[in-house]
Amino acid sequence: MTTGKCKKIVYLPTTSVVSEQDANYNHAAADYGPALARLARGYEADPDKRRELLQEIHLALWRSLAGYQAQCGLRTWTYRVAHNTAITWITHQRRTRPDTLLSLDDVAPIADTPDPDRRLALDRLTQLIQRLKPLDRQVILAWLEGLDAGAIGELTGLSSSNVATKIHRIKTLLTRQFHEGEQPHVA
Amino acid sequence: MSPDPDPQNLWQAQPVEPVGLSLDEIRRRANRFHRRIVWRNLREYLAAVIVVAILIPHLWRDRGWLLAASASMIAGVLYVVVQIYRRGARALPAGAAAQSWVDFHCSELARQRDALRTVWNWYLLPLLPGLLMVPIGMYMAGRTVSPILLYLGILTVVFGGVWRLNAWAADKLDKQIHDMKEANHE
Repeated sequence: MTTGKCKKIVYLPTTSVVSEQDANYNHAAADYGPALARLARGYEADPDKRRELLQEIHLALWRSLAGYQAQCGLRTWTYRVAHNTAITWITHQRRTRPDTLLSLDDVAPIADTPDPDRRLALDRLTQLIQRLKPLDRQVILAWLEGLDAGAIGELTGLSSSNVATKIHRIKTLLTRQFHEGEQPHVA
Repeated sequence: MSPDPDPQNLWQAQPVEPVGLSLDEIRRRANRFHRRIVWRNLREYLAAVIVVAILIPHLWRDRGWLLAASASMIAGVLYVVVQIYRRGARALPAGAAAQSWVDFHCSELARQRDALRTVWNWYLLPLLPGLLMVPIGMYMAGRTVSPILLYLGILTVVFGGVWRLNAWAADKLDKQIHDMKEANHE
């Protein structure tokens, strides 16, 4: 993967760019489509709105790829567009459906059930993610997708030490979530 | 006791819904989005046209300060329209959505903050000379002082309120930007 920050470029809509835009979109949708669907799940709980958000992400990705000239890896580009679109989405949604988002320090594990199967564990994990503030949510989603600290830093713009701290907190939080089944508390 | 799932494995192995959107449909939606923006801008310009249309007859009807007030307000509205066009045209480049989250969020907040901080210069100030000439014209035309004072009071409250609210919102955004930069340097 190409490293370093994406440079700003000027969009010149020519025929060759449009076809390249389509090719890059097809490539991104094929390689990262499932990750984008999971990402949408991390941002939107309502299934109908989630489908809408996923479509918004694909639309934003296609539009953004008009300006893609391999300034950074396609994976980084795709994730950045997806997260920024999703964050804009939840910001807009919160104006009409206010709720409280928490930081990694404040969030508590969702209450465990006596005999949870994988479905329940996944539901609890998803609920936990959906309660996080945007930046923490982006970090945890990227980490769950298997991105390393360097890639998460490139994706978010956070310093490597900051990413390392957040990953440590994520692991602690998930350990409490899955091993202890703590009851939620008001932070 | 709950099982001990690997969170990454659990997350990545979940079934996902297909996007249900072809490339052709994406292109169609992108065009619809573009048309929506064009219509939104047209609505803003239409509001300005209505205001100017209401003021234009005054150019023939009024004299002295009231004539100057109408002319000044028309100029002010046209200036605001040009500013709205210039600021609207300064849309994000196609690749801006692919900035890192911190850069994207900071630039969006800074853009909103700057628009709020400068609202006095490009939205309120151009309209003010015309609005202030109205009470002078009323006084010169021999109107009593009470309605003039009432007009000035309302004008002060409205303009002061708009300015104060925008300044308050800009300060809040500035604090958010500062906190975000601080947090990234912890």
